[in-house]
Amino acid sequence: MVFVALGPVLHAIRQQREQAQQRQIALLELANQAERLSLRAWEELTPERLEQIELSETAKQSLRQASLRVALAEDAEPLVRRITLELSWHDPAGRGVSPLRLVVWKYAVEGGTP
Amino acid sequence: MTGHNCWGRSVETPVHRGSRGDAARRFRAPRPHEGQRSHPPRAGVSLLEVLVVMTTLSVLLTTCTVTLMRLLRAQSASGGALAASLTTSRLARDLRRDAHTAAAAAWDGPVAGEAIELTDGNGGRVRYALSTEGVRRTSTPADGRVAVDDYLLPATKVEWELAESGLLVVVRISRSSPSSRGETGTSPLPAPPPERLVIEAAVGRAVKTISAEERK
Repeated sequence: MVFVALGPVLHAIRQQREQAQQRQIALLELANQAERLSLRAWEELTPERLEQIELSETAKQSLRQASLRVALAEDAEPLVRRITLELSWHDPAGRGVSPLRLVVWKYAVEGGTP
Repeated sequence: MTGHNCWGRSVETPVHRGSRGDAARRFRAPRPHEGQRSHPPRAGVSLLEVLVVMTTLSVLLTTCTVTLMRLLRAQSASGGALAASLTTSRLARDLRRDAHTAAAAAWDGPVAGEAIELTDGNGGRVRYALSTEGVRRTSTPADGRVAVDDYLLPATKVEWELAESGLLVVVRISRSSPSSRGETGTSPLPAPPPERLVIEAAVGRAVKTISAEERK
């Protein structure tokens, strides 16, 4: 009876560890994409160019069915663009996880980033 | 009254004799009833019964011990993973803060990839180097007060890279799985895949912003 109860407990612990690990990988992935975006010139921040952004190999291997969505919007303030990065993936059980979002503001001033 | 308990022994109960009260209580010797089997009184338990009880207890104790050990190891593994996760987050936060305020990044030391140095425009520098148990950050600001931080990442391989013409510091952290760390059989959990984390930090983001504002 003890072992019967122990099995689900250990399984739940493992799933929690995997979910925490996946979440950290997702957080780092979004932050890394934001870092790379900050190096891009203003002219390169077009919807067509942003659609070409891909996940890193680490994220592809670690996150199941991971997908990155990049949305570009002109901010109310002139010469400011708001870039929304949204990363979604599935947990070890195959369920969709609430996606993570990171918003980056890019200013037209050379090198100006938030 | 005479009966039999679970051990087959006769049990005597006091018999009241009319109105003579407590003083009149007498005990009657056990007497087998007609048609009922008589059990000889037992003075103890057999060796077989003792062996059965001892075996059952030993199995129960072994099961409990194994369960406790597994739970303790699971707790230890989870604690180690949490500590490594927090350390990695701290390293990412500090590295990005240092890189954003730096003017340049370059290799430091005789071998490329062992240490990286971030310098600001005021003479301060921050050095990130591999140590025996992880990463060591040595900050030397312009006033000369040295501060050292250690990021303990046991059983972890850390690699540095300078990408985008030195504008992007890339740190690759590979934490081996418990099985490859020689812990096979000790961990109750199935071995998770090795953790691979990447931290990227753009050099000079804050510096560029300040210079742009100054140009206004």
